[in-house]
Amino acid sequence: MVKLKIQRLDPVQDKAARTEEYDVPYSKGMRVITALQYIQQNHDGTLAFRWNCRAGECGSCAMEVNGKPVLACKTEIKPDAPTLSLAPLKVFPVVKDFVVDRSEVDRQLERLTPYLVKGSDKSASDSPVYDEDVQRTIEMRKCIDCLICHDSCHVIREGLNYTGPRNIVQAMAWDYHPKDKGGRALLLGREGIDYCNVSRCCTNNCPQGIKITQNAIIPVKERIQSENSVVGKAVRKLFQIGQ
Amino acid sequence: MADSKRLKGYGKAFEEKLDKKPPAKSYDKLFECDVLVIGAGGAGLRAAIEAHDDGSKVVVVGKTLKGKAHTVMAEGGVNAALGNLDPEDNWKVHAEDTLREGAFLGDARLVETLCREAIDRVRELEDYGVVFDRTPDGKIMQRPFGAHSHRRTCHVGDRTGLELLQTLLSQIRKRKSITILDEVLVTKIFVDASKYVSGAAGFELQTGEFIHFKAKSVVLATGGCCRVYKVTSNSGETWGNGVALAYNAGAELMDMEMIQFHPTGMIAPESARGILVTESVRGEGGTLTNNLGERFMEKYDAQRMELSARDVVARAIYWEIKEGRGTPNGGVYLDISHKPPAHVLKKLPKMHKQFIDFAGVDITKEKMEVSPTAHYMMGGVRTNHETTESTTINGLFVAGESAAGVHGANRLGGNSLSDILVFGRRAGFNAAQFAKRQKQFRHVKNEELEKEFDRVTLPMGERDGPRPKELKAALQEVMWQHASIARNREGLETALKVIEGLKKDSETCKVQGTLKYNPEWIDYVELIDGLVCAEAIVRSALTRTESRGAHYREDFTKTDNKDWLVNISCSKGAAGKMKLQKHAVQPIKGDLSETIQLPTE
Repeated sequence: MVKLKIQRLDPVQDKAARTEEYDVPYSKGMRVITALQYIQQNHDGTLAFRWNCRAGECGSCAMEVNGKPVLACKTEIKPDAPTLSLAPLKVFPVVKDFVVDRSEVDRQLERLTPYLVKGSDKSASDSPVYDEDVQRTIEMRKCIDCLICHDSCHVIREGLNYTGPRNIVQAMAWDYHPKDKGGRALLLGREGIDYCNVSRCCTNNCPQGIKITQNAIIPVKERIQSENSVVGKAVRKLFQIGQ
Repeated sequence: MADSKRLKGYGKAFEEKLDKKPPAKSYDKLFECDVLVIGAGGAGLRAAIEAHDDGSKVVVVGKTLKGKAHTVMAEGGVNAALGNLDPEDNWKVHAEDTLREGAFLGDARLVETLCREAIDRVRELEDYGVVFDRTPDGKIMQRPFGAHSHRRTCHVGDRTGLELLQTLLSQIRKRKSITILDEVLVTKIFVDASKYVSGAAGFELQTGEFIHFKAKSVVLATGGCCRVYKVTSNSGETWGNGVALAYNAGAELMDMEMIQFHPTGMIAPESARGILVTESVRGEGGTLTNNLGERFMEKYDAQRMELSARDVVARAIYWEIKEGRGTPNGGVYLDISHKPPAHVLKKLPKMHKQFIDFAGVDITKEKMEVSPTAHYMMGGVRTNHETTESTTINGLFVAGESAAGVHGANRLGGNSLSDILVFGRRAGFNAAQFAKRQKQFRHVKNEELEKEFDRVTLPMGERDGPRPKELKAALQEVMWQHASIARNREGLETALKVIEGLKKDSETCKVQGTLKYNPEWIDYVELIDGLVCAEAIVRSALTRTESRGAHYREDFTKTDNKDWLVNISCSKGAAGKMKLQKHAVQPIKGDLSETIQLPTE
């Protein structure tokens, strides 16, 4: 038997979150998602959690296991594990049980032109693209949008006004595209990126192994710095870009 | 239903109804649009882009979160005869491969469209920003895939589907006037007396609110139904909701007996059951053995062994397990550990990671356990090949896995992504054109909305009965036992009896809780829709007394081109009974007929 302590909240009935304990029979190699499905099947069919691909590819099932944000489909429960505490990602409002409202982060993303912005050079779309030119964008494009990085971020946890690592990754996936002319660094400058003190919590928790801090956040910070310098401003004025 | 606490979870209209007040309106939220796109996977998003660009007001709804549809699981790639590596490739060869692998059950005109237009759709994807793998000279890289004459599968590593879906989503975000609603479960398409689409109804899962969609035309792009099988590679959401929506609205379904089973899916632990194990494990020298240690493929195809055709290997594994030579977990062993670990790590990095992540098995040292897994629904809604409009409902356009006719009796790897792009675009365009011809919305009566609300909330409240999850499990079990890889009359009749019983039981189901994000209630809707698909699969499989492509009958093992070059359709007949009809496959016309003809023997 495995013991699970689950934080539950049905805003229809509950004033505050409550904790319920469930016993789930242990099976070899079981994942957190298996245990939750067992509870749905045998204890309470109304236990709400998101899942879809159960193969680590869709990023639906992120939750906190013993306080650490992880994908439930990938997280193994060991036979000798002490009681596991499961809770929803804590930086989001709870809809019900593990289901959280992610819509605010999406709204913030809308402001970052999260799509390919093509320049006026039309011939560019037919020109060849080489592997060596796309390595940075490819790394960002591995993002499965699970929001574990967002939940790991202590700036977000403190409730500061910051767009968060997920949105930076999603924006830079386009900014690093060889045909993109979006120039999102200054936009990100207005979205609280200064708060990030590069503690790498997001990078350390990313299930896709994206080096968010090193390869997305720091380059943006550097770019903002240079574009905001006296020389940068003069250059932009000279060529009338990004005004 | 006097429990006032429970009522709060429902939408307003329902609360008022329970209070015996006459409802002011029969829905909580209203959306008006020219084109309603049901399904937010690749086909749905591509349709939405096209309809928008043609000037329509578009609403897209998806059952899961944005960007999480089953499309993300597509790994291999998207086929297009670009000829970047093999210059002799062209759309005709691609079409021939597709028709032949589909055992000539596919609609040649649909196949022609697929293969001609896939080329432009892939170039367009690149224009949207998809970063395909490249050849050394900077062109789109194309990989070889099973049963293709040439290298034509364009890919983004092993995450083509994710890249494609995220990029299409970015194009939706760019078109700010498109409304995209996630986590909405549509339960009804309304059709008026003259067989025109008049709108739809559904539920917003996060709030439990009942939504009425007024739409001039509808695009259905809701994917397949492989979750009706106990073992499947599909996402949790693929219960054939859309196929049932169309069927209940009066559309014809076709080729429903054609379900593709992939020979190797993971089997243990339970949470990983069905997840795909790529064919390249066998390509790299992996061997299949049973619990006696025999390399059993010797018995089924001594020449090609593990690399025999997909359906042959799937049936061989199935028989080994059925005859008691399976592993304790009910699979067979797939072993690559005799190869040097460095070789395995270099050639199969993703498989190595997948087994470490999901099974705790190191494939360089240990055997894998695998068994066949339900993978793709070739059938779906029967459509007009030119417009993708349903053959019987005006203004209902269908694309992707939920439409029938492209893949015939078996699908080529990589053709599903071509399908969603080509026919997603066509459905979106034609739906927009259709909407332009409608001067106003067709009216949906309040009573119709209320009837629909009552239908899907039937199991809620004070009653006793089985839980939908139990019935779902029973359905998955019987479909797996009797309607999967090897079928026979007796088994199919047993399955049909069980399905009829489950339909009765579903009428007495009990669902606890409210409509607000309630998995048990979603289970109920998926159950009744899954039962429609399952019944269509079983009845069609019973009717087809031959073996063809993915459909194998133990009691009729031969392919019969004289009598069975026909598609079987299912539609709702008198008194709600499923009506089956046969339609002869049309001869191959036009450019294609120069090189390929229907078989006569």
